[in-house]
Amino acid sequence: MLGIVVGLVVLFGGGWLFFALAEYMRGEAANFVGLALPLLYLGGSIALAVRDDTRRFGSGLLLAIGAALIILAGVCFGLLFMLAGHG
Amino acid sequence: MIPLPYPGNDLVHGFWVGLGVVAGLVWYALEKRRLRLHDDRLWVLAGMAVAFGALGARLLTWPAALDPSRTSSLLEWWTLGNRSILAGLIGAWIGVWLGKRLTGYREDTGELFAPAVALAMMIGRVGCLLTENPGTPTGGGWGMVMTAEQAERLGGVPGVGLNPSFLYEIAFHAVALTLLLRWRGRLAPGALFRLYVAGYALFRFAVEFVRGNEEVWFGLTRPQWFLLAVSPLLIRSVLRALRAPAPIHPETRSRWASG
Repeated sequence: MLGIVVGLVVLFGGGWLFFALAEYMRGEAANFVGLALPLLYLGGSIALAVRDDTRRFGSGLLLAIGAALIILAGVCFGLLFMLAGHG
Repeated sequence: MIPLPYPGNDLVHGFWVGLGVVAGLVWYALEKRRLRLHDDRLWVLAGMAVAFGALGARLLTWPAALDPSRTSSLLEWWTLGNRSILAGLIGAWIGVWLGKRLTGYREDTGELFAPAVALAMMIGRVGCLLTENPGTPTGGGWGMVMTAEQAERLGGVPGVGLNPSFLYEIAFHAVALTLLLRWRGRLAPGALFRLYVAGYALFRFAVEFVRGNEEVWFGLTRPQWFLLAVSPLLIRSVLRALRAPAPIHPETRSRWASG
């Protein structure tokens, strides 16, 4: 449960922060950050989920990104990618 | 005839899909507890299924576009492209497979996942029923109806009764859920989930004829071509599961059957 809450906070907080900072970045930098952040989150979640002592937390992070993508229909990430691509 | 209540409303669609996902996860958790399966790796598999299912629903439809001239960039497809339940199921399957490889979990999980997936799809499809183009004309004085403006926005035929194809799908998942609960513990490990997926594939191929999706080749839609392409794998998978001998884990099996 903690992983889900932290995951949602990170996803929404990170997305909001990215939008706030993206206008100050160059196009290539925004593009790179916009693509790297979700991949970093996913990779980090899997790495935590595989370790015995952080398994539940990592699973929560995975559930959070899945739920966020499904429920919000990818709108947030879509905007993030779009901004990164055209920024 | 019944008017389409929330045409194109992403909020309503998202609410029902979200409710479906939450219901599926709650079911999964309750089943896990009922079967006294305390292995935390099962949560990793659930997380991988949801995460990769969500990613697959969007990304796997990108190369599936059969018309190369209309295939857009990955970025454009991500933001504006189709989402597909079928692609989501494939993504979830890949996620669970990858999760098992990474965590070393060996036991079959199909019977744990199948009813949860059926429940999630049954609820999630309500969102589609309320917001999307219902289907092809029924040819009679019954069905769901769209105004000209809604039909132009969502695609479809205005002013006539349309097949409520998503209602058919909800009914399919309701029947499937009932059968899954009745048959659990009675088949070889993995057979139940494979039968459910195969049944859904057959149903989906049939319902596509009244879904109203674009016909791309020989009168068949993209999902139908996709299903035809994966059908050999699906048939092989079902046959292998049905031929499997005794349950691998008798103690777990007895718990499945007793529920």
